[in-house]
Amino acid sequence: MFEKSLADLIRGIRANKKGEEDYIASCLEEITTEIKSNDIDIKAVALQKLTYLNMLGYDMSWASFHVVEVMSSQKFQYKRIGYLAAAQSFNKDTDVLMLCTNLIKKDLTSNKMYETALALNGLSQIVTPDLARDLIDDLLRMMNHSQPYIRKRVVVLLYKVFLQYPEALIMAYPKLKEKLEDEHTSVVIATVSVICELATHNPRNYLPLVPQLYNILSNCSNNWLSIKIVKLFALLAPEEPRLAKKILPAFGLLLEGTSATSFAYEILNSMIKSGLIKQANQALISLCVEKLKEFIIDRDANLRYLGLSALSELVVIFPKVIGAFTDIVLERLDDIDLTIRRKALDLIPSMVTKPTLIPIVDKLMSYLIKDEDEWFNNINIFTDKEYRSCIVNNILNICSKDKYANISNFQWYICTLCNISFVENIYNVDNVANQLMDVCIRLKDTPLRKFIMEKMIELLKNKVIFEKKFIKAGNSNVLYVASYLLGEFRNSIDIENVEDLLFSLTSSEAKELSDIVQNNYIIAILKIYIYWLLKSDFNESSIDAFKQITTMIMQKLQLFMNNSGIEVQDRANLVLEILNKIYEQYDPINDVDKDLIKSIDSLFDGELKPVAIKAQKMVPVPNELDLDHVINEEAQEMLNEIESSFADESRYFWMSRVINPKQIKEPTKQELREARKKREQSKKDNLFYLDDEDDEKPQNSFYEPDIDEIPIVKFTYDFGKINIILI
Amino acid sequence: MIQAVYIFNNQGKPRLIADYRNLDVQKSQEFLKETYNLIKIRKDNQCNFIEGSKLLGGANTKIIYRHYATLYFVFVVDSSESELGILDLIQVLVESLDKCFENVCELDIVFKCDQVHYILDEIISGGMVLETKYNEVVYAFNEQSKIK
Repeated sequence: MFEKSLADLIRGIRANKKGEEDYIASCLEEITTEIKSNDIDIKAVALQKLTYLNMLGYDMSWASFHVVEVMSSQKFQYKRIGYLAAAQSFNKDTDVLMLCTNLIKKDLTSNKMYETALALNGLSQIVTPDLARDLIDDLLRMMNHSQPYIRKRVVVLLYKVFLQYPEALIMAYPKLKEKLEDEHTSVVIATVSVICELATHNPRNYLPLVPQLYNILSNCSNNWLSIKIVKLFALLAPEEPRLAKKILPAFGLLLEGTSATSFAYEILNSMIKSGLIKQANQALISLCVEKLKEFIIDRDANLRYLGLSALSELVVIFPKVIGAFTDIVLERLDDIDLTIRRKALDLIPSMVTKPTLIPIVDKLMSYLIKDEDEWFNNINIFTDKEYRSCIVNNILNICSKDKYANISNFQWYICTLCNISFVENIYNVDNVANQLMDVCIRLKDTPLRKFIMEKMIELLKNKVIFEKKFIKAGNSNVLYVASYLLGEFRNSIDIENVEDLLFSLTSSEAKELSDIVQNNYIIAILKIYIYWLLKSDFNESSIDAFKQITTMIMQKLQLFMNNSGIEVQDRANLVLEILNKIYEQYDPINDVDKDLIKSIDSLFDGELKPVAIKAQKMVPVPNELDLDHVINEEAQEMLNEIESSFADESRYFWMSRVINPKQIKEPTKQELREARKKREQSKKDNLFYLDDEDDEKPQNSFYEPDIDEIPIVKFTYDFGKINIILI
Repeated sequence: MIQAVYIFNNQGKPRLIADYRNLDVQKSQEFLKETYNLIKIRKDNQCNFIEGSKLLGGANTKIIYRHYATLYFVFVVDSSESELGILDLIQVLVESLDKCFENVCELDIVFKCDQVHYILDEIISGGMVLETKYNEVVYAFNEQSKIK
């Protein structure tokens, strides 16, 4: 029987693309037998194949004993296979690890350098606390090995040993310090890497190494090493305030002098991340800003990305520095790389000030209104819904920040919000509508309100928003806001526009809108109609206009009554009835009748006010109320949870009009009797009222039924015969 | 530290998995898939860093990769590694492969998967960087291949 080699196996898998799993299953079966073979050649090749299959997702933990067998082979190439398999498949729970101590010890002390290296490398993956303790003496001795190839391996392995067996650190520290002076760069690199990792856990301990590290940095020509030392300084600097004074001038010189971008970037990044830059002088800060600018406009996408990342951390330290970057960050909004565009977008909020807000938002808007077939930089922003939505959110956030503190021109902002309502392919149209509502309700200034009303009428009349795509995407929901505001602030509408507006509100397109919008439409129609009646001076000649408009609206309300939603129907019906009554009973020329209209108008009285969620706290606590008294001990925990989850929210509530209940006079017995009589009389006159005289049961019997009288019907199911279709 | 090194092709087929976190085989495959899914949607003109995959370890974990013809070379690292340094290190790995296999192509890596591991072991040991010069790597690899 000829066993497959690794190459045969791979070739076989490639040839059996359709039946790959079956093929591998049969190979695994062969491997299971081969691996038990007494012939080390067969065993090793079987393990090699198994290790390959492990990469494809097949388990090999069952073969751990055979792995040890191959590891202990005399042949170097087999030993290699064994160690690779161990590194790949062993973990701390692998029980055969206990058998390995002597084997690894033997390999470590082998007189063949590459065998020693093999053991060191394997150990770096499989070291356990036990192995670490048993082997630490050998490892410490090997730190002085004649070959740098071994020394560097021992040093990096030590970090993994410390993680498993922390006591080893104290034993190894003096030697580790020595290795910083090793004549071989790769050993120094390994040592610095280990100290760098250790310093992330406990930086204070490595401050004594600063002079040595500083020397290495000054005379270093290896890029990787320089980067590691700079990173290490960034970890140490926060622990020792005096370090900044020494290290910052050196960083400045290196930053200016180096031609390696990766090193320059690391210096910048480390200064920012560690906060060292706070102590830098003006010249060094300017140098950093210049370098950062170079990164952000570099041709290499990686540098642009890293530049923006570093900048976003720098603005946390120096918020004003962003001013120097405004233009180049804005340019990055149409970067060829989507990740970079996002990074740039994230920076936008930090660069907004009162004077820059409008140009920034206009720039952001310019991306949103690009056409479907408009491409730039090989990117079609139109299709990237996620990015577009981020832009919209960004605009809303920067404009509404600190209660609209940065907005100097609200007419501009309202126009912008109206424009965003027509932006296609975004997720968050609702946020736009909410913001529009919020800002319009806050603006109480009369000319501004007039302006808002004009804009809302414009929105309502714009046929574009009724296009199918806008209705489907939810953009049309902005009309929810428009119709509501028009109804609520009807007093700011020019009376000449009202008739026209009533036509728009009852246009046939309205039936395409969602139910919640239609609801608002109906109420707006009523409010504006009443307003129109109150404000218009009717005389004999214009009385026809009253009749025409009223009948027109009554007819058009049919539109809403055909809606399948009951709430829409209900409201339409209600308004229709009111109009009907007005049409029949109201004489617009007769001033006395105006009271009827006024009383309807008074239904809509009251002023909307934004109320902060924390407003409740302003209410004084009554003296007799002890809020600290625990009324339910178990609930306390629950309350804590609720409190913490709401702590950061700042929502706004609209305060509805405050109702001052009039003092209601207590009716006398006489009055009560008369009222009852009247009611009974009207019951009798009403054809549709069912008399319950004969019914002897008390009324609440409906709620407390006699259990025995409930009829019980027995259902039997035979599932065997019925096909149940689950949807 | 380096947490994992992956080589996979444009279709996401693994060509090398070196995971330094001692994961079991299922987790390892899961992480590979996540990495591939994050990378495959990116265009070549995009930057070579991906941050913040929750599955792979959140904000502290970065994916740094290079795309050569049909293969992706991917390093998953934590914040103590330098992004640009790792990009250079990937270059060291690829140059070493190129020297060891003489004009390396995907097929070399497919059929000499174990050798690729041995080359990588000259650059990284247990997630720590061991060597950054490709000539040292090539020399050590060739020397060991000669041993009978």
